[in-house]
Amino acid sequence: MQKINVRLCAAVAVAAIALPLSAQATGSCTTEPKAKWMQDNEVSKQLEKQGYQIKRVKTEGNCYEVYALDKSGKRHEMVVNPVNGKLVSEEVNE
Amino acid sequence: MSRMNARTDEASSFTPVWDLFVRVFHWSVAVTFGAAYASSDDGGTVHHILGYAVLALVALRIAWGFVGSYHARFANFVPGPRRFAQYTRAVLAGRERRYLGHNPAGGAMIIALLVLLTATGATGWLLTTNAFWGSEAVEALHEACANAVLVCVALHVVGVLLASWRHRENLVGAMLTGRKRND
Repeated sequence: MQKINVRLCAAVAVAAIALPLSAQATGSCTTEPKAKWMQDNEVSKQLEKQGYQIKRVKTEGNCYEVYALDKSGKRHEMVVNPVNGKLVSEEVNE
Repeated sequence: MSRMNARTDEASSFTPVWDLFVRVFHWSVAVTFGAAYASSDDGGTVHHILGYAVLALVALRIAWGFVGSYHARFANFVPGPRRFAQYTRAVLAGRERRYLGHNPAGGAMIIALLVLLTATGATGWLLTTNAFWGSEAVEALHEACANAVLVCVALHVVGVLLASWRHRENLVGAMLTGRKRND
């Protein structure tokens, strides 16, 4: 019981710090409801055609977040608009 | 008794226990891990740097556990399962003795934290490799380890407060000054 309470307090404290950070990190990609979204495997296919190896497609707020490798082995973290599949932002790591 | 003698008595009743490295390590790892946890949603460069800093601090602490001052060395505080169980039973019965260095529960907690911090750092690093890029399993493991550290930190604080109250001493202050009552 005590353990859970301490955990809860820690979580609340961390959330108070982390939430503003996360709100900043995840942009908003669309205002359309999920019914109008592309399937995540459609997003994968579209990017695979461009030569990416797709490792994971994750829903992050109202965006798709795609983890992919390109042909030269660089790691890409792409934020994709789930309605039209367009790239919103991208981070590339060597 | 002369005033000078009284002063000597007072000075000799406190003794250095935690060396400078142990104290600097303790508070730096607390702040660095806390900041890394708080920056985890972003998961960007800052989070990575903080994670590597925690790993570096842990590596230094492990080395110090072999070459550091008396109470910093693993050989002088890591309990076996039996000593740990005996001490835990004594705590529950309210008859545990006071230790100048780490008590067996504190010693076990240090090992648990060093292991969990290493696991958190290692899985975090794996998430930046091509092999585990975006891996859901490794991400879940990384988060579980980080949350386990948080739970251990909470237990650690409870243990410190309990021992401080039971033996009428300020253990938080001791981790700042390095000195403890000598009796």
